[in-house]
Amino acid sequence: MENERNELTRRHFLSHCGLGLGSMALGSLLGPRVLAEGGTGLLPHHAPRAKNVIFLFMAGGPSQLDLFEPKPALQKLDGQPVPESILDGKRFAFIGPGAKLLASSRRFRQHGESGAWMSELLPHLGGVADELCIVRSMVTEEINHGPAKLFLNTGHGQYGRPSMGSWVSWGLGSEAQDLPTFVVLQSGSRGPRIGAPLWGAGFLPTRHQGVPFRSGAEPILHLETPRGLSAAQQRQFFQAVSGLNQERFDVLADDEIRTRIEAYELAARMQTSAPELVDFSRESRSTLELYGVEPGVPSYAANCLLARRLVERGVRFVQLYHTDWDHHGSLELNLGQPLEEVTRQIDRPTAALIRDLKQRGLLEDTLVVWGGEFGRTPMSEVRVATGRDHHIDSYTMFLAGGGTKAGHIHGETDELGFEVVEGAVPVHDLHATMLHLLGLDHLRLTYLSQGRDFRLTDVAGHVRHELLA
Amino acid sequence: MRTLRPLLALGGLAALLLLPGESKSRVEVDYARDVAPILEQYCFDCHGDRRQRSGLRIDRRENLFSGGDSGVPGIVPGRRDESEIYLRLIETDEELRMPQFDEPLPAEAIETLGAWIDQGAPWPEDSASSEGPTHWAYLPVERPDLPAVEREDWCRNEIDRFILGRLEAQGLTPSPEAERATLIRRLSLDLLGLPPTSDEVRAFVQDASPDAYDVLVERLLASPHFGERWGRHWLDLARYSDSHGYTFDGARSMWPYRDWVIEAFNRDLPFDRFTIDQLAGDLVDDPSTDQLVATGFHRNTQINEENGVDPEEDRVEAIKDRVDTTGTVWLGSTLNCAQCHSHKYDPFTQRDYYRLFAFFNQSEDTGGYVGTFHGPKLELPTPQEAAEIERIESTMEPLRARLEAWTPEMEQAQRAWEREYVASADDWERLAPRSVEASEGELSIQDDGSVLAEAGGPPRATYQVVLDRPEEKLSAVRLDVLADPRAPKAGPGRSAEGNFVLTEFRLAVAPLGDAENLSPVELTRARASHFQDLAEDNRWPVEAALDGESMTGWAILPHTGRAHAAVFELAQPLSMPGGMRLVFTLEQHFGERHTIGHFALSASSDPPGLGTYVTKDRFLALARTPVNERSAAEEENLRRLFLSDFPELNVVRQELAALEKARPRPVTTLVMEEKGEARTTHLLKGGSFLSPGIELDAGVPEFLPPLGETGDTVDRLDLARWLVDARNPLTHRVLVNRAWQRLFGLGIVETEDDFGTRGARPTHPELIDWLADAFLREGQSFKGLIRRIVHSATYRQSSAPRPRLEEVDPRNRLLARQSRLRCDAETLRDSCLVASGLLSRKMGGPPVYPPQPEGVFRFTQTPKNWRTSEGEDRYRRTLYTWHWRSSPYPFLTTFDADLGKRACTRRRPSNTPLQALTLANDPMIVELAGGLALRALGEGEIEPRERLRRAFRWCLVREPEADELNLLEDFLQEQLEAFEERPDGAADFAPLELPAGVDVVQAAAWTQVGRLLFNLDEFVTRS
Repeated sequence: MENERNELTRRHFLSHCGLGLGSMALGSLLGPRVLAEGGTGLLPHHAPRAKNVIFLFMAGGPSQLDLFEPKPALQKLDGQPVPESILDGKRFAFIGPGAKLLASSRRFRQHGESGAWMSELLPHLGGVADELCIVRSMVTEEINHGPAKLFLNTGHGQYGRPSMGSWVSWGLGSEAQDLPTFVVLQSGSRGPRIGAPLWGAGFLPTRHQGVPFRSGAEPILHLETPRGLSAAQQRQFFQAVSGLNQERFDVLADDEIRTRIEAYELAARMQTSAPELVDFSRESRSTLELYGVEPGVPSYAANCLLARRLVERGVRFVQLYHTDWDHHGSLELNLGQPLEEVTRQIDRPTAALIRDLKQRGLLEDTLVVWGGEFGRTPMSEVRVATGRDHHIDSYTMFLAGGGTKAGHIHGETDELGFEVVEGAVPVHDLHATMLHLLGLDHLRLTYLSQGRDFRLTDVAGHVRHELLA
Repeated sequence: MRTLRPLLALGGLAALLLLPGESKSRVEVDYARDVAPILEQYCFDCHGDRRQRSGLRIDRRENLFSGGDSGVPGIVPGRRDESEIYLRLIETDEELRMPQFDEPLPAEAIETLGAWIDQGAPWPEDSASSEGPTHWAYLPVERPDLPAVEREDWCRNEIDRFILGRLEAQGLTPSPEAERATLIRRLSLDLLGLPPTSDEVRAFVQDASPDAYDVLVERLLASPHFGERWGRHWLDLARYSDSHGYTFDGARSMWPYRDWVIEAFNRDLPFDRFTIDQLAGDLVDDPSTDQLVATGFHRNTQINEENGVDPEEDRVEAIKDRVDTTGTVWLGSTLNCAQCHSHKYDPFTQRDYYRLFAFFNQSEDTGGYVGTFHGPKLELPTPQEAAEIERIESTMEPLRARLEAWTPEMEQAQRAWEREYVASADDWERLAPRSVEASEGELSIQDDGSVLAEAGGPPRATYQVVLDRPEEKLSAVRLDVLADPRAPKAGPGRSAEGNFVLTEFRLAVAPLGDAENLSPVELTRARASHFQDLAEDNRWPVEAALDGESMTGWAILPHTGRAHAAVFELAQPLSMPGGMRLVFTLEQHFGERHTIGHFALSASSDPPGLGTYVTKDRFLALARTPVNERSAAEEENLRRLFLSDFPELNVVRQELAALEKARPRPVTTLVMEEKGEARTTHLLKGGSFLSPGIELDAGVPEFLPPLGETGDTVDRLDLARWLVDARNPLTHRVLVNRAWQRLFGLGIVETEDDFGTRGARPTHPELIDWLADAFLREGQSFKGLIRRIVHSATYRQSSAPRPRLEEVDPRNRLLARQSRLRCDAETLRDSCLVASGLLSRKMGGPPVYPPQPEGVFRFTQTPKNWRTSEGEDRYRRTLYTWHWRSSPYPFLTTFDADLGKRACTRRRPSNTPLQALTLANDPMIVELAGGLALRALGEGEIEPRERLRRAFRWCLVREPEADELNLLEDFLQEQLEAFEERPDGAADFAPLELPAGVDVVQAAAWTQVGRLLFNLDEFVTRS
């Protein structure tokens, strides 16, 4: 609160003393940290290993058994019923008793010095295997898409909690003066179900919510100053908006007004920074080819490249959503051509992102996380084509950069892939570890709401040091 | 791996009951409100309906009290220290403590359970039998007693007793009443979605009569704009849109339904009638046109017009949407989980789902699209149109009869025609190209003379094909587009759907001896085996390949994957001794690989014979088949073809065509209609339409009250009546809660779309019941409900945050003040329209196209029309803006209106820099700021400060403070000086057309002032 008051006084002083500063100048005077003040003023808690996060969210739940986890026993028992003892007490979204085991039809091979297994669907990722820290033992709690997506994003299966990007924004503020602290990019046939609450700020001040760029050709509309206005007039305009809003804030002290003041200051700066951000024309041909970006065409690949440009410019948390991973076995979503299609869309760009970050020296400071809200079952689901159901007891995600162990494979599942037998990593542990890498102690990153301190990790979570370099 | 969930997160309520400083014994612990959520949250996984570890099931009273397999009583009423349930929670031995392998429950939760046991563990009466539901929302609505409060004088009506009761229990005081100006703005925005005019504000502020507020409320409730505001809320729920949705997203005419909704709110149609008309208006006795239009509610489902979509799959999707939407809108329940499996947390079973499904499964609409059929629609002719249609129909009738008459002469004529048809079909000589060339990509000539484009290929291309033809005469040419198994959907086009768009088709010829001397040939009378005709704005006829327009052309959806042909006649048959060189140009400018992958060209010397009319090979094969070997259907097909081309009937056909063309095209709207024969409903295993399970009859979930009396068949009308039956515990609670939410930001039940056990608990359970009960008793009047809420002292409070309050109740769930709410997208633009003086108050009618940024449609699958409106339609209320599901008006999405896909029960307001950019820079907003500038400058000869004061009042309804006015004045001065220096800039920025005597610099500077006011927090906030 003390910091807040200081900031307000200073802002008030600046906007009321006729210094004639444009709000752009105002922003730079205040400095980056002030833009998104942390809650304790003492952050980070310890020296960070990572400054930024790129979270590649594969919405729908990718099949670990067709991508990362070859299971010879499953190949052998293809089509056999699952022993009752295994199914007892387990939850699946759709399949019932009598479900049959399903072998993967994909060829696997080992990659790199780490010997990471990946299927033929991930040829490019195989090439960066030695950069990855593959966690084969993820465990989540929620069986359906909505709650599970919320859980992976907010640590809780219901609405109302802040998303991890918001926690990080609140805890660390921004390194980027001219761009939002937390940006959301979307690709695939539609947006992720649930939508905004996945990147919402919950009970944190709303200025920490993720800013979703449009998924079309123009990620941000209205970046141009209206025709006829000079840059100086636009500055005067933003300054006047700020001044009058500040008057209201002085009267009402509503945090929402403060968020709006900051949104306008950021908007003013984005007018300068964003056109350059979204303009890929300075990217070399080889970079575009590396990612597989078609200029002007929205895609996951374009979003990966944009993500690199965002972290390059200091954006703290970038989250990409790519949909269509829910391969139950319908005509549109099954483990045949549709899985090939969606892996083709993400394989090359994801590998390119890691390579590109590495060659620019950004991977050291950038934590890349790849994965979905859950995995898929070892059993098949009987629909019109081959598919698997949601599986929450074991699935695969991977991390790269940002202080994680490169070329590392963590955790093990049983021979059929039902349960984790070693090194289970619950979602809250992933969160604790991510925060740790960013210099934040998940036990101390708390926010008082309704008389109680809340955390991203709820009442659970352990930092998993075995994943760290 | 289940972790502990903090108690406070689930309702806030139970926890608030136990806030420090409050005596525990004061508050009666209520099972449904306080205890059930804890049990459900922490115990239900192992001791619920799905699993009963150790034989214990905690949601059954008998079982819970007597205990599980161990035989130890779970609960001894009045004695927490003897109740095993309680003892296991406070157990220190981790092996024995519950929940097993998990963190202990929070102390508050344990204390709540303990207090409940101490109070005798009261169990709701009606569920004393172990079968009934125990969840609060499934229990009947009962009128609760009004709580006693200390400050009775504060209360204006019953609502306030409930609110104040909680506040006093928390030691909180309500906020004072808001200022008059704030009140009228709040009421106008909430009830009409429009800010008040300055005159209205002045009148209200100065009105000293004791009933000034009541009079204002009545005036607003009677305003026709009320229906626009509350109708828009309903349209959110109805997933209303002006397009069919999915990626293809063709246009649809649905606005008469939208207008019906607005009108229904304006005439305060009682909610039971409102429900019945929308769900089953077609099934009531002798339905009025209005009632039929109302059934459009469930025709707002999306229709998948993609090629290759299984119509049955699409139909089933639409029915599911109807079940889900009905569940969300009336029952506040997430039924969709039960599509594939019984609901995990709520008592809805998969059978219940498909029993509800059966109600909707009888409708006529087929799913997908068949030709241009998008399901039943109703024509709404004006009286003149109706008369004209009747006249034309009566003229057409005898003509149609003549077409269908059949004589032996015609039989003979058909046989002769068949022979000619077969013969003429052979007239076509396929020509092997001499050379082929493509502007992009490669073409190759095949052995059979056809031309193949390389796989993949460019997004757009122009092909040029050169052929030499020794014949002397040329009358017609023919283009065959051929299937290609390598292409998407087997071609013939290269787009993802196998489609192409032949934007232009041209021919030039030269004498063979003088092949360089090319001259263009005029082509006419183009005909094709099929052309794409999916909607009024989605027609791609083959004639369009001759029209010189690069935006039009010939396309073939949905019939891709097979060959088609087009025939073009020469306007003047040519003759060149020695033969001629033909140079064909095929332009394909559409993009996204809408190019032809495989084709062939032919030519004919004779004037086009009958065969050229019909290029479908299967008809040719039929005509070659001897008469006695044809099936009846084949003979019938061929006869139809013959008749379509029988010269003697041409006159009749032309007359009919002319009449058809002259027939008025009245406005249409999609409506519900019951199919003639009944469909059988099956449970769909895993939700898949391909996996039908057991047969089910229409019915309602068993844990809810039964259907009322029904006729012989149970239909939608029975369902509608059941939904609005006073015994239905959900419908009216859900309804009053949503109305509450619109007026306070959050509902009494925060999860307005989930009243199930996983949803939030009501903050004021008695209040929601009291409101539901009053609503039912008082004629189900929606206006009455709103009147009651806005009359309350609770609603009239100031919204200013108070420091201590923010600490105790940061989300304002106890309502010790009003809420400050970001205006909806529509209200925001409409407020700009009002302040600018440009708003058109015209109501209803076809959707309009206000200006929007260019490039919005660049990535929609099909091109979309956006003919930016001129005149008053440019300034209509935002709810009349055309809504494309695949590409909504960007201003709406930027301001959190994600509409038309599924029932939207709440807009979730955000506050982002992208919104700031839009309000600051969108030319549409600048245009409205220009309106405000001209309005201000039109106020006559007054001081700038007074002018500023007025503009400020137009936007914010109150008087500016001195500081604010100074700031505005400085800004105005600054802008005047800046524009003086840059008059060109002023001309660009000021409104295009200035009234006589208005100086361009003044206009520009005042436009800046308007823009500034539109961007203020106070302007975008309803306080």
